[in-house]
Amino acid sequence: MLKRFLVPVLSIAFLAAVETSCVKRKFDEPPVNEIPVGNVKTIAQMKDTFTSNPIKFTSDISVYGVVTMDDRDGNIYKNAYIQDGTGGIVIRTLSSGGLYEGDSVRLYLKGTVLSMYGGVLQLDSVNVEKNIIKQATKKTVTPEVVTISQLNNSSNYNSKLIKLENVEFVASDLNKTWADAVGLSSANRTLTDCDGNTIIVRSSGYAKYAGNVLPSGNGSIVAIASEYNGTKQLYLREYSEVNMTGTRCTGVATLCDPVASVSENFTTASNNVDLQLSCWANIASIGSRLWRGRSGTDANGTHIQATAFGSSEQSKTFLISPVIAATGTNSLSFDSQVSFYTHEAMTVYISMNYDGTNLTTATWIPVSATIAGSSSGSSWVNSGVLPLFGYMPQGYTGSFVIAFVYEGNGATGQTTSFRLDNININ
Amino acid sequence: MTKTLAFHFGNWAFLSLFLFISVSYSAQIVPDSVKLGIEDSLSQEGKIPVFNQSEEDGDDGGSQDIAGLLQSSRDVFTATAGFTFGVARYRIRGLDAENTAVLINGIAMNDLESGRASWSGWGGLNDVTRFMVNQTGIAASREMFTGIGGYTSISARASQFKKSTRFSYSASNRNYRNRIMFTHSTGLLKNGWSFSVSASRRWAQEGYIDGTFFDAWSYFGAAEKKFNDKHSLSLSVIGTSQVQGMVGMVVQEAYDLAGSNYYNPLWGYQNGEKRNSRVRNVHKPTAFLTHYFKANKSLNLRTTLYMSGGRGGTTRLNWYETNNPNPNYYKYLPSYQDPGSDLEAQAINSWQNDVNTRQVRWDDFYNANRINLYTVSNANGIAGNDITGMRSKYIIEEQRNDHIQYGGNINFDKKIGEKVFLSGGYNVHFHNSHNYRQIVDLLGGEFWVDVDQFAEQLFIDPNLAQNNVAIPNHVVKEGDIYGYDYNNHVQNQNLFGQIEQDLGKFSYFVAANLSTSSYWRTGNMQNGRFLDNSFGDSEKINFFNGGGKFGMTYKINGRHYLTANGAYFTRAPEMRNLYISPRTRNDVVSNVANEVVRSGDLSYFIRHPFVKMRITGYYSEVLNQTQMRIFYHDEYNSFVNYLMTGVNNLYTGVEFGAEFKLSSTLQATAVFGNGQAIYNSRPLATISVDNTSELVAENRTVYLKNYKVGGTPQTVGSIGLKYSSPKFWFIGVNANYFGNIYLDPNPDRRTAEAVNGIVVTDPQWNEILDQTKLPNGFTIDAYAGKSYRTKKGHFLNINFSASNILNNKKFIVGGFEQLRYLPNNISKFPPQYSYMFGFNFFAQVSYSF
Repeated sequence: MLKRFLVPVLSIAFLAAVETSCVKRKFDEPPVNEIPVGNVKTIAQMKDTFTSNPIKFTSDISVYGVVTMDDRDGNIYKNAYIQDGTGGIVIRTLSSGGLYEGDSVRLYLKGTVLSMYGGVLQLDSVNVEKNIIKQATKKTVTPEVVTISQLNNSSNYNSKLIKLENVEFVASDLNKTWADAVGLSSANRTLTDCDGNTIIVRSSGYAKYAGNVLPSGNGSIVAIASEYNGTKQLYLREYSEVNMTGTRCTGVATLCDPVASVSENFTTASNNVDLQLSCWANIASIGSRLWRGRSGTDANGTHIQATAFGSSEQSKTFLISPVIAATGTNSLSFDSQVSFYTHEAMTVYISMNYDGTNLTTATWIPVSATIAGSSSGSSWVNSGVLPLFGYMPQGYTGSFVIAFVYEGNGATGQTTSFRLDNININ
Repeated sequence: MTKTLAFHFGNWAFLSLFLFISVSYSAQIVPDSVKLGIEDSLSQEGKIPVFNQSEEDGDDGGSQDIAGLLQSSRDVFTATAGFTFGVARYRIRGLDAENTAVLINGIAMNDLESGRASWSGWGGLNDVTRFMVNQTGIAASREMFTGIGGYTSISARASQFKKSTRFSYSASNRNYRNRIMFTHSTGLLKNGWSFSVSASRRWAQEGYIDGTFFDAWSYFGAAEKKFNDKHSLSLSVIGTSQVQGMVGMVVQEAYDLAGSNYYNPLWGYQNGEKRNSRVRNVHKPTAFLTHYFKANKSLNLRTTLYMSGGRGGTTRLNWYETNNPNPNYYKYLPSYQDPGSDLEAQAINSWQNDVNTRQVRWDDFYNANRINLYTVSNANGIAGNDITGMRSKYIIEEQRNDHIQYGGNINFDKKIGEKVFLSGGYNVHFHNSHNYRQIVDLLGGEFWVDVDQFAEQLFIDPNLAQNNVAIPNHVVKEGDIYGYDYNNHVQNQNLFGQIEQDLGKFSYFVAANLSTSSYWRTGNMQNGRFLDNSFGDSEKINFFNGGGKFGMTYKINGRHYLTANGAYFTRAPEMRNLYISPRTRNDVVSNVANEVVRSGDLSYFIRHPFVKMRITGYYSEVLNQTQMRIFYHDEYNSFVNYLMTGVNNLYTGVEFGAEFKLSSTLQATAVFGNGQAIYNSRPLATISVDNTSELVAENRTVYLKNYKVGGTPQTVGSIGLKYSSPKFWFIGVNANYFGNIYLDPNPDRRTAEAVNGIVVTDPQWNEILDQTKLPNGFTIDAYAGKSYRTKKGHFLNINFSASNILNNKKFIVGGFEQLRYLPNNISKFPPQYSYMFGFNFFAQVSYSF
C-alpha cells in the first residue's frame, strides 16, 4: 500500500520541481515619478509673463494655489479655478474631474500653455495626473466681498472668488430658471443691486441647478468673476452659496403674509415705468413686457397698462395680487379700459397654490368678469362685485391670489393696450 | 492501459471530406461574452464546447461502459465537429451549449444559472475525462433526461481505471506552452479497494496572444471500496485551479493599426513587464460520493451525493473621474477624429508607433493615484469623519461569482427479460452563488469610495449616488466588497423514466420528464437609487415543466439502419435571463414563461467493413425564450441590460459523415454539415440601465424574424486521409472549410425606432438592417504519432499535431455587432472580432506502465 502511494507522492513532488518557470502574476510597483519643483512663481507673476501670444512652458516652474471652483456641478466642464494671494486663474484640464474645491495644489507648469481666451488669461493643456500635485485638501478661500460696480470697472477680479451682497435678479428674469436644463443650453441672467448696477450670471445647461427657478429675493451670492469679450460675467460655483431670500430692494415679488383685503388705485405708479408694488408681483412668463404705470387725464387718474404694441414678440404678463386670506365671502371688483383695440387681451385668474416661484405650473382658474373689450370704446368698464367663493373648494380656509394676465403679440398685430385701476379684493 | 494506447489519437483517424457547396446560413447564438457583459473577453479555453474537448485535450475515446453501435462517440461527424470544427466555434445543429448536458458520475455539471457546462472546471485531466460517452441530438440516457443537444457523460470512479501509471509532457503554442500530467491508478486491489489519482499543470508565461499568461493546476482523486458483489462506495474529487490573462476583442481598425489580428488591448507594461488587466481566476472543485447497489442480476441502484463550491472571478480596470483607461476605447481611435484632421494623423501615428497608446498604461495609473490627495467627508456614514489620503483614480477590481452547490440523485436501471430496459431517477440541486465586486489592487492609491460616478454627476441628492446606503461614502480598500453584492439561488428537481426495447428488426426508446425550478435573488446591499427593491429577497419565481422524447431504429439489415427521434418538452428559462438588472435590483422580467422545445431528426446509417456512413436531417425549434444581453455604455457610465422575451429560434439542416477504409493502412473521411439557424419571431425588448430606475424602453418590438443566428459557421466541410503503419506509427491530414458565418444581429438595430426618420430608399435603411456575413474560412491540419513498446512492456508514445498549417491569420471565428450603435452612423460602433490562431501545434511525449 505504502509503496503504491509513494510513487504518486514523489511524482507530484517531481511535477512541482520540473516546473522551472514560475508564471509571473505579482508585479513590482513602478518607481515613484518625482515631479520637480523648480522655480516657484505666484499666480500674478505667472500671468505677468504673458504679453500677446500663447506661452508654452518648457522648464521646471511651479505655482501654488487653492482650487476655488471645480467642474463637478457641471456648470463648467474640464475647467477649474485656482487662486493664491495674488490672483486667480482658470485652468483648462485635458480630462474632466479629479480636482476638487479646497484642494491646495502645486501646479507644475511644464507642458502647459498660458493663453488668452475672451479677454481672460487661462492655463491650458493641464494634465491633472501629471501637472497637479495635491498638497492638502479642504482649504477654504474666503471670497472677497465686492460690489457690482467694482467688478464692472476692473479686470483684477477675473478668475477670483468674489461675493456680492444685497443683490437680486431683475424683475424680468424672475420665474425663469438659471439655464435651459432641457435643451442643455447656457443662459445669462441679470443680477442687480438696489442702485440699478447690473452684471450677468452665466450658467450652463449642464449645471445641476440649471433647472431651478431663480431666487426672487435679495441677498448674497458667491461666484467666480470673469468676462467674455468685454462683458463681465459671474459663474456660480455652488448652488448652496446663493442666499437670496431677503426683501427685494423695491419689495416686489416675494409673497407677503395673507391679508384680509386689498384696495389698490395705483396712484404711486410712475408713468411709463414698470410697476413695482409691495406684495404685488409683476412678472412676464413670455416676453419681457410688464405692467407699467400710466398717468391718466380722466377721472381715474394714474392707472396701469400692459401692451404688446411696439414689441416684436409675444407677451404674457402677470400682475399678481398680494395673498388674500379666504373667508368664504371673498369678492373682486376692478375697472378696465382698452385702447388701440385689436384683440381680447386680458384674463383674470385665481390661484390657490401660487407660491411666488411656480408661475407656470401653479393652477390658474379663469374668473368670469365683465371687462373692457371691442365694444367698450375708450370707456372704463367696472366689473361689478364678483363673488369668488365659487372658485374655491367648499369650506376653504387657505389663501389665494388674483392674477390679471395680459396676452398679446407684437409680431402678429395683437397689440391691444389694456388698462387696470381700482382693484378691490375683499 | 494498452487498449488506451492503441486508441491513442484514434479520433484523429477520422479524415474529412470537404464539400465545397456553399449553401446557406449559420448556427447559433450570441457570443457568451456578450451575454455575460464581458463584451470583449473571450477565451479559447473558457469557451464551452458542446461536447468537444479542445484539441490538446483530444485523446482517445477508449473503453466505454455503454457501447452502442450507433453511438456518437464513434461517429465521424461528431468527432470532426468536436476536434476540427471546434476551433471555429462550430455548434452541432446550431444549438447553444445549454442544450447539452455534461455529466460526471451521473451529475449534470451544467451551471444552474446559465445552463452551460464549462470544461475549464476539470480541464487538464485528460487521463480521467477520456472515459466519456458522447451522444449528440435526441438520445436515450439512463442517467437523466437529456435535451436536444445530447450529452457527454464522464465516469470518474476509481474502480474503472485499470492499474497503470502514466507521465506525459506536452508542448504547445496555444493558450499554454507546457503541460505535465501524472496519473496513477491501482485497479481493483485484493482487499476491495481501488484508488486513482491524477494531477497536471498547464502553464505559459505568454500564450499565442500577447499578454496572455496561463497557469492551471488540476487534480483528481478517487477511492472506491467494493464491499461485496452488491455494494460499492466511491468517493471522487475533481478540480482545476486556473488563472489566465484574457484576450480582448476589438474593432478591425485597431487590429489594422496594431498591425496584427492578434492585438490584445488588455495588457500593458508595468515596470517594463507585461501585465494583463483582465485575469480570470476560477477554482470550483466538486466532490462526489456514490453508492452502487446491485440488488440482483437485473436491477442496479445508484445514489450520489455531491457538493461543489469555490471561487470565480475576472478582474478589470475601473476608474473614477478620469478618462477611460482602456486603450481601445472608441474615442482614442483615429476614426473618432475628423477625417484628414491633424488629430486623426496624430492618433494614427501614436497607435502605430507608441506601444503605450495601444496598451494599458500601468505606470501612469500608479503615478496618478499617488498624487491624488483627497478628503472623504463623513466617511463610512459617520458625521464629521474625514478621511484624507490618496484616492485611487484607477483600480483593478474583480467581478466575483463564487458559489456553493450541493445535491444528489438516485437512479435505477432494470432489465426485464433480454429485450426491455427500464430506467429512471430523481435528482435535486441546491445552488447559491455570491456575486460581487471586490477591490483587488488600488494601484498605488490608498482607497476608493463606493459611490456611483454617474449618479453623482446627475443628481443633486448625494444619497442617490450611494451603492450601499447602509455605509454612505464607504471608503473601501483592497479585499473589500463594493458596488454590488447579491446572491442568486436556484433549486431544481427532476424526475424521469425511460423504457428501451429491442424488437429485433426494430428497437425504440421512450423517456419522460417532470421538473420544478425555483429562482430568487437576495440583495446584500441597499442601493441608493433603488431603495425599495435592491435589498433582501426577491419574490421566488417558480416553474413547473415536463415533456418527453422517443427514438426508434429500424435495422434494414446488419449494414443499413434507419433511425428517427423526436422530442417535445418545456423547460424553465435560465436564471441569468430573468432579472432586469441583476446587479442592482430584484425586479423580474414581466411575462416570464417557460421555454418550449421541439425537435426531430431522421438518419440513415451504413456500417460496412469498408464504409461507415451517416446522413441525418434535423429540425429543432426553441420557442418563447427570454434572453438577456448586457453591455457597457459609456454615456451612462454603466451597464445596459437588453432583455428580450418571446425569442424563437428555428434550426434545420443536414449532417453527413463517412469513413472509407481504402486499404488496411489507409483511411479516408468526409464530413459535411449544412444548417440554417434563424430567429423565428418578433421578440419584445425591455432596456434598462444599472444605475437608473427609468427604463430606456419597454416592450419594444424587435423585427428579428429570419435573421441568422450568429457566432458559428452554418456550413462546414472536411476531408481527411490517414495512414497507419503496421509499425506503430501514423500520419494524417485534414482540409477543412467553414462557410455561412454571420454576426449575431444586434436586436435594437432591427426595431422601428432604429430606422425612425429614414426612408426605405435611403441606403442607411439597409445599412442599419442588413446582417453582416463574415468571410469563409479554409484550414489544413496534420498530425502524426509513434508508439514504442519497451521490453518490460512499458509504452512510450510521441504525438504531434499541427493546426492551420497554411497559417491563415484572417479567419474570423468570433465577433459581434456592438450593442451600442448610432442609427445615423452605423460605422461609428463597428463590430468587434477575434481571429483563429495562425499555425499552431501540440506535441506530446508520454510514458506509461
